[in-house]
Amino acid sequence: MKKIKVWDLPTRLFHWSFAAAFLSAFAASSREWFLDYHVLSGSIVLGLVAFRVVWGFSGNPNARFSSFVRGWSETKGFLSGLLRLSPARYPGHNPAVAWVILAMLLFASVLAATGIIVYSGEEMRGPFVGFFSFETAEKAGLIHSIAAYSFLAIAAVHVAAALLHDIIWKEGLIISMLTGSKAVEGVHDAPVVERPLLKKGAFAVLGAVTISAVLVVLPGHKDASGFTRTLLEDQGGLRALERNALYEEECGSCHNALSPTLLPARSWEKVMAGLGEHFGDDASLPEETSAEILKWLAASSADHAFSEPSKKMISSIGDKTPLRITEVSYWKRKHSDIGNDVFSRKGVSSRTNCAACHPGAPLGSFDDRDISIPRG
Amino acid sequence: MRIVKGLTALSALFFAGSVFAASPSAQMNALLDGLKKEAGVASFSAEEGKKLYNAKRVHSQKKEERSCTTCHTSNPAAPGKTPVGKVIEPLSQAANKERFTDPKKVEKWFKRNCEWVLERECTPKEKGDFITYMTTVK
Repeated sequence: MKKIKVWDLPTRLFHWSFAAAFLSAFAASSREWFLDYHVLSGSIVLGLVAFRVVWGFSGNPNARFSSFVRGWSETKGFLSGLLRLSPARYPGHNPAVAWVILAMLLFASVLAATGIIVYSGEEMRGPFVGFFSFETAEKAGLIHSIAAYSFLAIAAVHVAAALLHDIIWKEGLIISMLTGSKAVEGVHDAPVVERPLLKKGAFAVLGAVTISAVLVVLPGHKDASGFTRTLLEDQGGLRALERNALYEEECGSCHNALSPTLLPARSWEKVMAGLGEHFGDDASLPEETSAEILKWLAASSADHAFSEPSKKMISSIGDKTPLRITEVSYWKRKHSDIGNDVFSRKGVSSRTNCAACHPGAPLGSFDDRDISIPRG
Repeated sequence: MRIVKGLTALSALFFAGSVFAASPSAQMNALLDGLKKEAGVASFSAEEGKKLYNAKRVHSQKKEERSCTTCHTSNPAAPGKTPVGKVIEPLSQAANKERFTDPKKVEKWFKRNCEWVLERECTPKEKGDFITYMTTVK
């Protein structure tokens, strides 16, 4: 057996960047306010998939799909050898891992495609805002999670197999993916057709997808309150709520002026009709004042807003008519891991102080990327 | 364009305001004069206003002790808090010069808060004493 170079540098770099990008996207999906990082890592995954596909037709021999993707009979042969604990040795990818690679590329593409749909239709961000409805985005979101866990399962099998090869058969697979060299016997080199143009194309694709992904995520700077207003307006996905001075003065003197976008118009009608006994206090207003405020509340209500929280509040409320935002089950679910200690912090002071953590709240925006919880 | 329009509107408003409406202090004086006439007194007492501000009373329905100080604290120059925890700017004019400059606002809050503490409207005498206290206390 002699040690020869089996993996070219682009293949090795792809392998580890792909793993790192997927893992960081997965980790960043755990918290809403990591959305930027999630989208950034996901976009890099997409760029890497595009690169790998082109590289699969233009790269060095062992990187080409034609060199390692085998039919069912050869795969079956390899698998039965594996079960007998004496798998056939391949210098490059074996027939089983070939299918794992194809499955990973497929699931990563599904993840990227559904991710783009959710980002545009639900988050109202990115270059494809307006192309997908909220309902489409919700379905895409479901597929996105299924694909993510499937990818993770395949990756787990892949890691386990690599460890087996290294521990039992001492192939030195994992180290070879770092150094590029592996000890192999009986090397059979197939003639390789050089495709320099495609080779360059692979890097061009990687660069273009990754750079445009970064550009999509980066623009938009937060204002002093931490709200990315520029994005909201520039990308046209969400219109900023027209603030109402009368509402903020009359209702906001006694309690936080809550966002009208979170309850349906019928809730606001009920609230405004019952001001004489408003949560135990007389908060009555002159007829024309309350009529004017109600007009604005109804026009800005969740029935008319198309932001993600408005839509989700509406579907969570069903045909009920809640008077408090904080009693809606969607609101409760979204805040279930926020403890009382957070709500009673000096910078928050109450569950109704939305703007403490959602700086865009007065403008009807509860963007994931803007969420910032006061520490004190 | 929008800025020009805004500036025009603003200057028109300013012009109208300065010609047709009396200055804030004149408006408040008119309110106080009216209250004096209604109450049948020659002058108001800051001392009485202070007593009213600190007077505690149990609400007949809520069975809880209420006073102006419940929300505004015993120091009218300090910020207070509404029952749900929203910060209230200081009430005394010395601490907050915007206070007691707009008769409409003054009447609105008397109506709402006298009802909350006393379960009735305040009398003209009470209002006059209260305003006098809040505009003179240091």
